[in-house]
Amino acid sequence: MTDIVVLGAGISGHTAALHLARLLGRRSTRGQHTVTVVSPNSHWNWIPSNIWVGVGKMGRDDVVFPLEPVYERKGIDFRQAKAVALRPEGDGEDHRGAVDIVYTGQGRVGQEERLRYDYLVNATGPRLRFEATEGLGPDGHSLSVCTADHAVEAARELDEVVQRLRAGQEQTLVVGMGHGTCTCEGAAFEYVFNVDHVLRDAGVRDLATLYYLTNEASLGDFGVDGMTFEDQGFQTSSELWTASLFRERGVLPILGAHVERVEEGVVHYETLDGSHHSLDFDFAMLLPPFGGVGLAAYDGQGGDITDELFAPSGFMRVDADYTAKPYEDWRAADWPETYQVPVWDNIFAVGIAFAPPHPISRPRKSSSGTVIAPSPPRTGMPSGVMGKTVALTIVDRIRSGPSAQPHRASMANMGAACVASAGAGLRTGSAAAMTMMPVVPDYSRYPTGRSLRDTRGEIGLGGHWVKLMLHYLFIHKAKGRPGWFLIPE
Amino acid sequence: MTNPSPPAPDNPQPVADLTGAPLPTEGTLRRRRSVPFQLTRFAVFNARIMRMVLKGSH
Ligand SMILES: Cc1cc2nc3c(=O)[nH]c(=O)nc-3n(C[C@H](O)[C@H](O)[C@H](O)COP(=O)(O)OP(=O)(O)OC[C@H]3O[C@@H](n4cnc5c(N)ncnc54)[C@H](O)[C@@H]3O)c2cc1C
Repeated sequence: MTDIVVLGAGISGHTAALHLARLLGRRSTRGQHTVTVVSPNSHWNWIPSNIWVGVGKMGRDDVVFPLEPVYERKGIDFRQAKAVALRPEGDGEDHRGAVDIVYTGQGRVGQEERLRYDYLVNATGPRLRFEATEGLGPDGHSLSVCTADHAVEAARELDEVVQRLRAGQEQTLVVGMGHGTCTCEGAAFEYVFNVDHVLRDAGVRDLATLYYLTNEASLGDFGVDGMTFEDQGFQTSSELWTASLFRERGVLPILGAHVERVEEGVVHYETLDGSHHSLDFDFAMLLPPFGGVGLAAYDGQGGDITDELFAPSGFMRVDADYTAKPYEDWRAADWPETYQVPVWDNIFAVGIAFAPPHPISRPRKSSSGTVIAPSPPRTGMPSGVMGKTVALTIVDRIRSGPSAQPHRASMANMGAACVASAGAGLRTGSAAAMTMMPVVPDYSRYPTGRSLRDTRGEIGLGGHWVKLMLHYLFIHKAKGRPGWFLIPE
Repeated sequence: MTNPSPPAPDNPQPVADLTGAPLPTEGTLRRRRSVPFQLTRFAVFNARIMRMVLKGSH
């Protein structure tokens, strides 16, 4: 009998759970193996489409669905709860690993339970750290599209801006990153061009000033140190490609910025040259920095071992090389491959939950010492791949014993697609579609860090169709509908 | 399509200079909207994603 507990039902955790249930067979034929998912939300959210919710092109119900019926069908136990503490050595009663959870639903709000596991997958994603910047976020003075509910609120505010523009009032809109160490620049980039599209559609673009406020030192960095593309026989940069789109659409980029404070209608920020600025706005969507969800860890005697399992950021340490070294010495091999936690090789951390060894973009500080450097992104495709990879490892170990070799999937060996829609509509939509291979550049294999054949950027209606197709395919997959496992992560 | 929307002069911001960035030609803009051309790009993009998936180590 093997008990597998998956913490988190986002892209990586849900993918891991579905594959575990599929590979171990239906509940009736699975023997006594159990798969249990613990997640505080009752619904699954296709987060990439929150962008469309945030401009009113999709509703909340288009991007979320309830998890329980899917898990019921797949023979997966579901606990609507949040994990609070890990006990890799168990406790006085049982030496198997355990995780303490607190219910957030299922009629048991606030109740605590200790779940025992043989294998644990930590896929708890990010904590949205709005508190890192004073006044940031929906409880402060800016908006977000990180959750479907945040996106609904952003759409409502955007609609009010459009009404005021229609009445002839000039408006200033700011979209970007709410802190110098944010990640997910691709999402802000996508949102700013969707906002631009909405304003053009409404015929009010000329009265609006639209800023893109980012911690990237140059356009097209996206937290991956930029990309080199091959275009018509020349090598060109993602910087030039992105700048072209900004110029064409009249979106004003402010680069290398750390937001210090957001007040009602004003954002205060510092730039890399150490200067401080204030920008008045009528609408601001600023993403928060991410951190780990703050799980604690205890040894068999109850001693605190949180620092052993987690980096100071709250993300979980896995099989990466965490030795501190300068940018010039960063190597592709520093990145994890198996997502196993050192010492406790029955614990894995996938998706945003694992601690990256270092950023990908060159880290920078302002002249006054403020860190203004994008954190490394862990986007949907790699997160799903990691979830499937650890599911394969666990199933092999159940079948062949604990010495079975782990499956491997390094971000220095896998690609990612980033499709940033720049408007919706089957005939009028557009998208800036990028692929990069690998995500983490590997200069020992490619002179430009990445394969020129697979690292591409293009803009057009076709990219919009890709984004729409991914929306329907991934929701089909996440619902575990027929053939779901044939859809790649 | 170009719409520079200059920042209000009484509140200048350190906006990046984009005058060196290439603007798409009319032909490029037409191709970005052309359904037959974009159908080909759609197919190529999907083929590339599939190639990356197959090359990835999982
Ligand atoms: C607005 C936006 C747009 C994006 N667009 C794209 C895109 O176009 N393409 C792309 O590839 N990526 C995109 N991303 C990134 C993508 O959403 C993430 O890469 C992906 O969601 C990461 O998956 P994950 O499983 O690590 O985390 P998540 O999907 O965030 O899942 C984390 C899960 O853990 C649960 N959880 C939290 N705390 C606990 C706890 N204590 N115990 C148990 N469970 C817990 C959460 O409820 C959630 O179910 C976007 C992100 C944002 C914010």
